[in-house]
Amino acid sequence: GSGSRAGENRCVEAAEACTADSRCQGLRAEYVAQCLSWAALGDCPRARCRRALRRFFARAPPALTQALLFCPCASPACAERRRQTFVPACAYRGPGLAPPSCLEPLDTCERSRICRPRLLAFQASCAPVPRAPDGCPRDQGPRCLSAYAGLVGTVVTPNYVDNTSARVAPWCDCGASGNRHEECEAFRGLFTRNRCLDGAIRAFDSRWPPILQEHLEPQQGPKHSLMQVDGSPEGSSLLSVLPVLALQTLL
Amino acid sequence: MATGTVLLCFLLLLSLQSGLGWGPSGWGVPMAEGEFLSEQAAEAGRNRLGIRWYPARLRRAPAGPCQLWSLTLPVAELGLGYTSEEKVIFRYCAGRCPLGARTQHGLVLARLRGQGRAHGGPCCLPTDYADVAFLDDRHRWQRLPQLSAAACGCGG
Repeated sequence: GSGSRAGENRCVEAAEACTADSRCQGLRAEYVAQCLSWAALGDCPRARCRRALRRFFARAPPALTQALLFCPCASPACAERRRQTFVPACAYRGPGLAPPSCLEPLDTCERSRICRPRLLAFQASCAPVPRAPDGCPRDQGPRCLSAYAGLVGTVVTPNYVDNTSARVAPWCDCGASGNRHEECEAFRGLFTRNRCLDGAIRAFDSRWPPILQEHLEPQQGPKHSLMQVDGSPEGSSLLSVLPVLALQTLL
Repeated sequence: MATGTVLLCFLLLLSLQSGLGWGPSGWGVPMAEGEFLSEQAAEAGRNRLGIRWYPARLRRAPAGPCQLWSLTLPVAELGLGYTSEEKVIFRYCAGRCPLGARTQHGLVLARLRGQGRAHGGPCCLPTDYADVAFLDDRHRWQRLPQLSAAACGCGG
């Protein structure tokens, strides 16, 4: 490791904020457990992994899950962590070595009771609107990012494509799309050539510190009899103090 | 002369065990504390992130009933050989247990202990555990199943 402090790596900060929240930590441990396990045929249990991811984004505090997904990065180490955050080897890639044509996940999604509404919401909040003053849906940043997060764990799960940029895409391409090539490109372009989505992800940076403090609310975890906190690191970062403050409000 | 030394050593051991404070110029606990402090400083010096963060070392027996305690640790501090920039929460159980019992075994044992015919006492233990997961320095997910306590109870 580079030994960098949490303050220099926003994605580490986000991970620690999630760890400090009982709901976030429990749901995160659950999807890691599902996505790292191995099914009988030697592949990961993709459906269970994706379901656990959908539960994570639905039930954990959105401020924390979005901080994990959209943490801004200035280094490859940070960006690689961001890229790995939802165990993409299982959740993002499909079976097989090569990505399929985008028409496959697209068609599956449109027939899916779960995926279809999420894709529609994503299109509504993130797709460019030519008639609007800036070409994007009005005040759409936060809604667009929520809709994007809603796609994680579906057949059209998007992810960061490398650790040197903030470009995202679903795991598919438009090589073999025949006479539906335009439809394929239009769908893929929602992720790869979408100014509004890019802008919303970039704008997340400016909401950073308040986002992580928003989640501080009385904890109601099932078996919590947390009475004492000891051995906390002193002064390493604001975030190490936040969980202590949260627990002190319980006393 | 030798008897005096033996007596002194005996008193020293007694004072260490009972945790009496003898004042900065005495023997016993302050000397032990001195040892602890230098041990702390050495350990803090070895801390990979260079952050000296240990509080005063805890006494062995916590005041208070059996309950869940929480520590926030850098992954390296787990001592399991993993390296990660993340900190994880490690929970454990500690505290006093009343002499009562929940099973017939416990009932008989409590009675015998009360009569001084059996050793020990009920102890504070985890009754449930939780997983700990983190992304390591090579950006690989690590999952440590059932590593941290999730709830405590008195047993035995």
